[in-house]
Amino acid sequence: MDKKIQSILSDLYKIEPKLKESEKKLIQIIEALLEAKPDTKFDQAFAQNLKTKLIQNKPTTKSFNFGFMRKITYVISGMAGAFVLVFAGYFAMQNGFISGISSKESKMLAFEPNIVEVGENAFGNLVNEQESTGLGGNRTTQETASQSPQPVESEDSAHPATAKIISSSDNAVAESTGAESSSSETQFSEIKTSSSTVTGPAFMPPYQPTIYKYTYEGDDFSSLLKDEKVDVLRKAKGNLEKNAVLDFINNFDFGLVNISKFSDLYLQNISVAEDHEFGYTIFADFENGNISINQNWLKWPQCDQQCWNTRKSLTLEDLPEDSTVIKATDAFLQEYGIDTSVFGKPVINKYWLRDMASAKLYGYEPYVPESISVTYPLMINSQEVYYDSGTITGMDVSYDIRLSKVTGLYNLSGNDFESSKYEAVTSKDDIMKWIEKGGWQSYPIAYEQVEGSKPVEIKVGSPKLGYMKYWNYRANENNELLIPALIFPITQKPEEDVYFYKDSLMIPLAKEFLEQTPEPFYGIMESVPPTKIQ
Amino acid sequence: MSTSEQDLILNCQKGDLSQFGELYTIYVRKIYDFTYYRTQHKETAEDLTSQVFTRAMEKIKLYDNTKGSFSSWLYRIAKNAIYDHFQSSKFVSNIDDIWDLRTSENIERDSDTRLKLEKIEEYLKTLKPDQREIIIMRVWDGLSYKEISEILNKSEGSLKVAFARAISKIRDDSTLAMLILIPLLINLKIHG
Repeated sequence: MDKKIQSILSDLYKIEPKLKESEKKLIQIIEALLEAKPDTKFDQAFAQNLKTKLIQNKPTTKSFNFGFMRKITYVISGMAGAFVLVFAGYFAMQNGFISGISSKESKMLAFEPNIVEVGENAFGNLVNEQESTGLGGNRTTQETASQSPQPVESEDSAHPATAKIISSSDNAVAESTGAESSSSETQFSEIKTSSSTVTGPAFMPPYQPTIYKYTYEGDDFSSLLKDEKVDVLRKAKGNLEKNAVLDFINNFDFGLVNISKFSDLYLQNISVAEDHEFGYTIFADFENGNISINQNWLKWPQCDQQCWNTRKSLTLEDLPEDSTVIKATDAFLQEYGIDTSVFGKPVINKYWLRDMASAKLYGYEPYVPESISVTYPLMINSQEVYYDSGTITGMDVSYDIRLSKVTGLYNLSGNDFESSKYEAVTSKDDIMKWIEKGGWQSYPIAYEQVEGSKPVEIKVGSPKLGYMKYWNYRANENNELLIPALIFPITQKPEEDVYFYKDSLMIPLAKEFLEQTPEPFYGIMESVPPTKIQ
Repeated sequence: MSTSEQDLILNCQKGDLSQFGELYTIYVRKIYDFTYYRTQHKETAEDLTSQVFTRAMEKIKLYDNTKGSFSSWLYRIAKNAIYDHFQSSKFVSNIDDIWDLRTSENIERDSDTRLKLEKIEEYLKTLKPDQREIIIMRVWDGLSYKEISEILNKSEGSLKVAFARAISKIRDDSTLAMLILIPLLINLKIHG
């Protein structure tokens, strides 16, 4: 007898033992009821669409409604003078000229995703020409993005050429956070000093040519490939809403600033600094649509030469608990009115941990970072966005371990997109071939031709749907695209291999990507000798 | 409720509604099926499911875990949405559920579902609405008595009694039907 029927009967007999006499009849009735249970025709596409709508249109009672304000922006663009007056008014309030309004009552800064549908294939070819011809490719989204005004994480790479960069003395080893990859000169010097604080013998192990063999060990993912078209998103430029940003800036304490002098200027960007101990500098770039926050270096304690000479490097024991760091970054965002509802659960970047196993193996002092980077993952249509290297993207907040303070915020930008349908990958076999290649970013480097190459097996698990951030160049214009993609987690990798950095493989689902046949790339084949870090 | 689900709810209540998507993923199928069993129409069920989650998202701050599970809270929203749907429908007079429809009344139902249910419909129609509800919740929705008690705000004991009575009634009615039907069939065979 079916367990469900048994359970129902058991309950019945406890209430009415006499019913057992009609057990045969009761079984027939319950079977008939179960048999008549309708097929509900549940539609996964409906469920996904509803989810998207819910997340996009979630109540915004707490947050500033960016979509609404965007429309107003079109009307008031060019009226920078007006908002400057408002801004100046705020400063008057802050300094007691107008009383009774708390600065912390300002609205939260929220960048709700807003997606506008356009025609099919509206963005032209998705794949950059260099990559489609297989010449000089492997220019990653992160390399590209680092040239844009928006600070991004500087990600190391599995390639030996990049390995050289990792082991060079002018860069942090593994903990290259958004903060450290900023173009700020002062920050750059910080990185140099950070790496110079490593004491004792610190060596990167020699790079050995390696043949990575990728093996898929997950479930059947054919159900994720049923759509004939995928929606590729293109980010709108300059989509920062000025009034909202100014509301946000009002959360900081600048003292009395007379910015009315700037009222006749077209507002391209604004940079303002808090004039007190541990104050911050806020930079809002309206043309490129992003905001960053840094330390106001004049107001933070600095370590002079003598300090650096005597300063002990951090050890693993100095690292705070993850929860302590998240609590601090959450509090910072709350205090300065940044709505986190468009982001996923924060994750602490621990790329520097890659070095630990290697340090143990090769007997050198492991690198412990001075600061920790927390990423609040960007969520678009309830899905996460990854760089093509397999690293999650989002708003980055950096936390200084010695000072126990948040030191900066990066990658906070508007989320207006256009959406265009492109032909999708529907063949599981095509995907499997790209898994064997190591995902989209990896080129089939011909390591087999190098004497002494060692084979290493990498295991890959079941994928999830998400987006791959990709920079597209057309006619001297850069566009940030979000390509629907399958994200395959790497479930087993060589722990001692610091040159293998990936946590996930990215396979874009726009067919054009998987139609590329890049040639093997030989340009970075030479083995890297051991290099002292400091 | 699992700890992670509690965390998701708490975070949503704190304003981090991006995590509502995960709650949605856990419950969308259950809520959709719940609405479908009671409307028997795909588009209506989808519309009601949309209403349920929209309301849940708006009101999640009001959810109190001391008063029952999150799933029961969602089912209650769904039940109210279904009730409102039938109450406001211009095609039917006031009815509590789809089984109350009179033959003269017409409402959109999926034809395959209608055919499949023909066999048991006559028996379910003879039950009181609350008896039908318990049977559907227990047999089709697969809910426990505890969950049903939270949704309907009734004691588990009274629900078990009501379920036993409903099944007994179907048994008696079907037996009676057979008693009437068998002589009829025999008569037809003799004279046919």
